[in-house]
Amino acid sequence: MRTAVIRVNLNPAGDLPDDQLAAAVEDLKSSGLEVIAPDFGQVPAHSREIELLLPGEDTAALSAWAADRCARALGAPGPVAGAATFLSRGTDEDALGVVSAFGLTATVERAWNNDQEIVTITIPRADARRVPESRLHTALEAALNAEVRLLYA
Amino acid sequence: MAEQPSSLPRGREHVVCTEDEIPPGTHKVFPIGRHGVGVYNVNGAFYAIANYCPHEGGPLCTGRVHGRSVVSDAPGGASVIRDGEFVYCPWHQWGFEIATGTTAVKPEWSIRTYPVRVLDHKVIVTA
Repeated sequence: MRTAVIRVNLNPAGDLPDDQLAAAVEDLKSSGLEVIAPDFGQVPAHSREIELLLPGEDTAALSAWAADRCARALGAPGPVAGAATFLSRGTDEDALGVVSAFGLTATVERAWNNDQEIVTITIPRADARRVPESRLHTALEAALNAEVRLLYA
Repeated sequence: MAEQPSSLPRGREHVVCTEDEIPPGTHKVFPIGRHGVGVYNVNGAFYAIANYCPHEGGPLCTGRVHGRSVVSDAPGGASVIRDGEFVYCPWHQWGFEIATGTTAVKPEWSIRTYPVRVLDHKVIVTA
């Protein structure tokens, strides 16, 4: 399963004290959630955003859950979920996730040549016409840190 | 540390250096994967990220480490927050969070990250 990075602005209105936000982050961490949070004292009041690392692929559902969970931790309504991204650990799921973010489907095969990994991504030929090949190839090489070969079937 | 081979085998843990070789705010690049991996010390926490920018394939880990710009509370102002937690590709200045290898600007981009742990002052990357 992929890991989503869900950004949540804890207090867009900027009217809650830093201590309350820090306590909310501690509450989230103590419940086992992986949280990336800034030093709230160093961040403008309207930009106090944290990130929750959550397993799953449905960003809409994860964002809604994250905003609700942050509101409960904060003891006040108002947290708003922002952009959602995904961590890549170089798995097949990560590769397919990148492909699907470009609006495509694909199959993934892996091979090794003297310990160098080669990942072959096969895309339906009709779909490939909609996406620049170099953009997709570069994004996949970054997500996998391996040699990527695109095939069209 | 002993001289390393041209590329470290995948699927294994590698002791890449000692903790004091990467002080906070610095990083080193190691021969892992096709493009190498930068291991960063961000305020005492270690992260590893592929040395390859998803924009046009620039050598990401040779880029500057800095914070992120946000609108400040003052009218018309801007602030840099979370200094030292983002790396900017030297080719076109695309910025990525080191901890996650992602940017909110382009959600379809995810840079490969690797688990890192420190044991007995040794930095260990799972390739």
